[in-house]
Amino acid sequence: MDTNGEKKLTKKDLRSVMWRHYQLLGAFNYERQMSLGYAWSMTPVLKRLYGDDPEALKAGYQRHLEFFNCSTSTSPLILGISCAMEEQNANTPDFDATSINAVKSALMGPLAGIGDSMFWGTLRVIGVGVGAPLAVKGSLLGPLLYVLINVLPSELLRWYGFKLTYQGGNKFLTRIQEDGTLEKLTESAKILGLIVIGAMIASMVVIKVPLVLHLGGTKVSMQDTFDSLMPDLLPLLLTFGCYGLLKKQVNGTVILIGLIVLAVLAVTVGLL
Amino acid sequence: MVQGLLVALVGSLVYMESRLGGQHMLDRPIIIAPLVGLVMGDFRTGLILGGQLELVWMGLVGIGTTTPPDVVVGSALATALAIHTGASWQTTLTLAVPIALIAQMIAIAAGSFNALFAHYVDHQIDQGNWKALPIGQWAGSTIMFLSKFVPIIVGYAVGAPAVKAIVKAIPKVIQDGLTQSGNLLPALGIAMLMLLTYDKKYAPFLFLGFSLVAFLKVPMIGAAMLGGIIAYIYFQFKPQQREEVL
Repeated sequence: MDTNGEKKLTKKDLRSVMWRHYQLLGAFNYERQMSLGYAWSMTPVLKRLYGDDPEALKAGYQRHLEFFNCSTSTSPLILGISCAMEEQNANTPDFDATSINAVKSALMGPLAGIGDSMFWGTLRVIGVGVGAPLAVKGSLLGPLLYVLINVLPSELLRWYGFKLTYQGGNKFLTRIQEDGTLEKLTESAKILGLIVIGAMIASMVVIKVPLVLHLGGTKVSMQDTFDSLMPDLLPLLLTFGCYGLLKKQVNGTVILIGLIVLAVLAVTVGLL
Repeated sequence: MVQGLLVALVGSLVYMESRLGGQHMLDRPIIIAPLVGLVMGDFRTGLILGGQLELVWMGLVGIGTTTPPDVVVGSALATALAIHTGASWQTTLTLAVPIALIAQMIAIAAGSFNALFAHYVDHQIDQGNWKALPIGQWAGSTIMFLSKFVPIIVGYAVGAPAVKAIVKAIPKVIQDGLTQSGNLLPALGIAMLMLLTYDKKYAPFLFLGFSLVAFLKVPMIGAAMLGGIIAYIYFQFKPQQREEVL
C-alpha cells in the first residue's frame, strides 16, 4: 500500500458527498433500499482515497452497496462518519474495514426513528396545521409556510450534522444514543406532534348539525346541546372512530368511501 | 392533451424531489395542487384544493417500506379534473381514489423492479466497471419518474370525459353530501397520523392540544408554539439516565 503522505479528503469531496446525498432515494428498491444511493453519495470519497488501487476501490464500492435505509434528513450524520472512517481506513494499514458498515447499521435504526418522528411526525404535521387552513382560504402563505417549516430545520440538521460527525466521528452520536438523549429527543418530538394533532381535531374537523327539535313548543338545537356537553365533541368522536377502525386493520380507503357515504346520507335526512 | 401532459409533468417532477432532491416532504397535495392549478390556468382553485386534499391525505405517507395509496397521482388528478370539469374536489377525489390505488400498485412494482439495478451494479462493480453505479442510480430514478408520470397522464385522458358525464348524472342531494364530506374527511387524515404516533402513554398531550383549541380557542400557530414549549420542558426535565432495559 502506498503510504507516502496522508490521504486526505478535500472540502470539495465532502461538499460533493452532501450534494449527492439528496439523491439517496433515487434508485430505491425493496431489496436493499437506499444502497445504490449510498454508494453514489460515497463515490467522490472512494475515488479520492482509493483511486490508485483498483482492488481497494472495488472493496469500497462493495462496502457501500450493502443494505442501507434511514430517514433522508438524518442520513448525512451517518455519511459524515463513513467519510471519516474511510479516510482512516485509507491511512491505517491494519484498519478493520468491516467496522465501517457495523457503525452504519448500528446507527441507521435510531437515526431513522428520530428523523421520522421529527420531520415526518412533527414538523410536517405543524406545516400542515399552519399551512393547510391558509391554503383553503386561498392564501399563498399556506404552501410557502409549509415549505419553510419542512425545508429549513431539515437543511440545518443535514449540513451541520454532517460537519459535526465528520469531525467528531461516531463518538458524539454514540454518546447521545447511550445516555438516552436521542430517545428523549424522539419522545419530545412525538409530544409536540401529538399536541398539534389534538389541536387539529378541534380546528379542522367541522361538524355542524342543523337539526332543531320541537319538543312541546320549545325549540331544542341539537348543535347547542352537543356544544354544552363539550365543544367539538363530535369531531373528537369521529376522529377516534376512524382511529379505532384503522387500529382494527380496516383499510383507509374503505373508511374514506364510508365517510363520503355517511355525509351523503346525513345531508339527505337533514343531519348535516 | 397538452394540459394532461403538463399536469403529469408537474406531478412527477414534484415527486422526484423526494427521490433526487432530498425528500423535504414536498410531494404533497399542498404543493402539487397549486402547481397543477397554475398549469391548468386556475392557480387560486389549485391552492384551495391543495389545502383541502392535504387535510384528507396528510396521514398517507410512505414510511419505512410501506407504500400507501398514491397521494401524488391522486392529488394531481383530483385537482386537474376538478378544474377541468368544474366539479367539486370532493367529487373528483372520490373518482381519483381508484386511480390512486392502481398507482400504489405501480409504485410497489417500481420499487421491486429497481432491485434489478442493484444486482446489475453488483455484477458490474465486481468486473471493475465503475460506470455501472451512476447508470444504475439514474436508471432507477427514471423508473421512479415514469411510475408517476404514466398513471397521471393516462388517468387524465381517461378521467376527463368520464368525470364530465358522471357529474351531469349525479343528483343535487348527493352533490351536497359530497361537499359536506369535505368537513368530515380531515378526521380520517388525523386518525391516520395518530396511527403512527398515538399511544396511551402520550394520550394526555393529544387532549391538551384539543382542549387548547376547543375550550381556549387558541389559533393553530399558538397551539404549535405552546406544544414546542411543552416538548422543550419535557426534554429538559426528564432525567438523563436511560432506564436499564433488559
